Amino acid sequence: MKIEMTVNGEKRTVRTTPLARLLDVIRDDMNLKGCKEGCGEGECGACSIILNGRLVNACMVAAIQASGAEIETIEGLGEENRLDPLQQAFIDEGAVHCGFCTPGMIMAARCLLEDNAAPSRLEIKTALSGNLCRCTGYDRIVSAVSKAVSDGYRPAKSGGGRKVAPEFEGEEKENFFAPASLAEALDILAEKPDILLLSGNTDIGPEMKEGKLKPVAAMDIFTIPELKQIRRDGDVIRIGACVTNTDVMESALVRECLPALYQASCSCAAPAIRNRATIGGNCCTASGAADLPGALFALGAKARVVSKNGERVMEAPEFIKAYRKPDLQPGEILAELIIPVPPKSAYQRFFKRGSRAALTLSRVSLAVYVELEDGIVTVCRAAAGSMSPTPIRLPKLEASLVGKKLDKICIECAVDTVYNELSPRKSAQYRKNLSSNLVRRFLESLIKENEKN
Amino acid sequence: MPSTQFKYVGKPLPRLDAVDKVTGKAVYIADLDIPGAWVAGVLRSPVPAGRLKGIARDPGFDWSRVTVATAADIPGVNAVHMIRDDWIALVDEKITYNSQALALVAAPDEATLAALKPDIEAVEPALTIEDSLAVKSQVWGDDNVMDDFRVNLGDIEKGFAEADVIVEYTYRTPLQEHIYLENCGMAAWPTPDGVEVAGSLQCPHYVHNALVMALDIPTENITVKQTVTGGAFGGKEDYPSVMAVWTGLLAKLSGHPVKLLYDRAEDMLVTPKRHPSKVIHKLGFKKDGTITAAEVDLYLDGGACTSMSKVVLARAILHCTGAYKVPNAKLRARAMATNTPPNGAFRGFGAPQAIYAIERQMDFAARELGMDPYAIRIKNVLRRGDAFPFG
Repeated sequence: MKIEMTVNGEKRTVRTTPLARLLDVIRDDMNLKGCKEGCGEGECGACSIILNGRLVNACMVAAIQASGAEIETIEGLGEENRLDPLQQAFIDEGAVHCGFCTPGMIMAARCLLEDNAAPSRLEIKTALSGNLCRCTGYDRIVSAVSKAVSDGYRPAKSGGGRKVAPEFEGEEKENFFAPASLAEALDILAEKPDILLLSGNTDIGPEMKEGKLKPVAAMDIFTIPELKQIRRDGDVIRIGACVTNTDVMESALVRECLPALYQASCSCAAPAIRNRATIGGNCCTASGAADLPGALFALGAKARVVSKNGERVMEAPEFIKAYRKPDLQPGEILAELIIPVPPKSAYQRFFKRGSRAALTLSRVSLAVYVELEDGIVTVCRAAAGSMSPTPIRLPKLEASLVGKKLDKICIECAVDTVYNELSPRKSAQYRKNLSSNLVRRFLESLIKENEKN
Repeated sequence: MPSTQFKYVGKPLPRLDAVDKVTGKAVYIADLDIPGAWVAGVLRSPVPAGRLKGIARDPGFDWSRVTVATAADIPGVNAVHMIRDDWIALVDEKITYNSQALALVAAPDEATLAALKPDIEAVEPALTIEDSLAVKSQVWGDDNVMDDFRVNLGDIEKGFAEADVIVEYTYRTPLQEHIYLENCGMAAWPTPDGVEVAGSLQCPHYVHNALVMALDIPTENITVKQTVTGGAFGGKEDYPSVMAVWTGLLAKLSGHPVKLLYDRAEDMLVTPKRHPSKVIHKLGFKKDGTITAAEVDLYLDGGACTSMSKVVLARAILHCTGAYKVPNAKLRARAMATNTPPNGAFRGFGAPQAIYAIERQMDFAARELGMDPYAIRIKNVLRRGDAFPFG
């Protein structure tokens, strides 16, 4: 396969295989060794680069997805005697120790400053939350970024790239595809129903590295326009399957109408992964620990799957029917999630608790949606993650609330109900306590908010 | 005196390598371009304990461009020199831990291990400190005790007799991985009369001595270079010697430069970690919170061979009564061998395990005596002229 990219402002053509890691293409084919491999699965950020204006982990981007891309690596910033002010700030603030995280750290900081001219310390920490420094120099690193800002550092926005189909060669032409439209993708899928669909590649990439997955054929759907939209359509909101967590977070429509989904996306992984990991991917992986499905369940989302021959629409929990087994027939693709626009009387909240603030697998995730009329609960949907093979709805908790006046007694009853309803396999006591406390916290906050309104 | 009068004092100095590191130009071992380098791979034991009866080579495989090394190919002593020479470089017969190296392979592009089939007779392993004490498997020596230190002071029986309250608990800590951000890696070049190695490491002299002994090369014919090292935290004190012996051996046998780079999964699976510990800690207190006696039985799980265990253990026993005055003491610390990968140095070097136990003891004592946890510490803290139990 031949792909063309613009790397640090220079046109580069590389011949590689479609599923080669962009990390290896950058390091080995382009000999840019500042991009480091620390973990190979998005846990450390040492390979952070800017791809089409977004921070990514190069270890989790397949080469097929980089065709036509604009890439910035540490080598594009500055050189000795001509250092970029951000690089100089890292030196001045003593933010460089063993140096292995440094290029990724600087690229993550650069990407932040391209979008945010005056970030707070918290915003800097959040932007760097996917980058590990094992020498534990975080404080100085954050100070270095602050210093660059106060010195007037304002980097120009990196280019957004353009979609160019890779030039496949030989047998690749039969097995690898980068369609430009959904119709084209469905045609390919009709011919090759078993083909691997590559979206954000944040789950599949690490699985390929571990050797768990050895795909002989794959199709990149990450940039298909029809799968990238978030739009209001009458009384529903339609979110395309390849919408990333970052897209969700940046959508004014989601922030206004679906705050629980916004909160779920914010709590997912770290910026570089949020820039790639998609809502459809999170549903299709069908893992119990996934965060977005819980929020979608509580919001009453439906999944629309399409094939060349038609479409099916089902409730989201029906789509995520079993561990790692979404309800997809051969030739079908998840096209979008359809979420009813909540009425003004709706309250919703997503909670996640893991072993650390970022890049963490949920120990507990909980999403609750409630509609109130005159203090009475008229609708309730609740869902929990990380406590079963797939995220689950909590019908007993829901039933304990619907039709009741939301008061202290009702809350205690709901807390008891959810405590007994959950049966986590591991750390059961901890998870039951935590989840029921979160339910209490949410409901108590509703009473307060309801009084205010 | 104002610091402006000095050239250096009171002024920050940039790191010498900072420019290389912020520009991505710093060359770590994986970044080193070695023309003609062969790639090394390690055939590892899938069982924690057993006997290696032989290694079959697939006759259908093209061996012409592959170098294979086994214990029989080691020109010097089959051991990686450290505190003791008990870290076997390649298994001769006895397998003492999962992932232990049985054979090495080097080839131009990819080191294929699938064409080598080890014939192993597995035996019951000793995987925990308790297994080891009960000699469930004979891992090391007769009794699995690699090191045994004792410190006695005063009259322990009298000390506990004087106590109003006795606090006794058992504490355990698990394995801990360093996660230096750069994985381990080593490269070796054959030279006419010796070998040159370069890699991610902390102690070039350890590596040098290990090469002298295992490869039987005179000290002056060995060159060891440290490449820019992406973190270590103790994790690259012992293990680079192992990788240097392997790559050095393959370089000598093949006549080519040889590179061995771990990815995160292999690094986490095979390299040394912080010793798991078990500490049985008994303290006697007067009603006013004064310590009268300490009896401590401390165990570290050293894995299958000594590595740094002896010195880590020494650090652990020195810290097991913390910073407190203890008039009567009976302290014992043992490094136990188990059928697990050897454990080594890690920031704190045995102290964290011991300090965790003594500090939890002080908290429990404060609770039992109804004292403030800070007050009970201040009451007992060593003052000028006081001594530790060891002097």
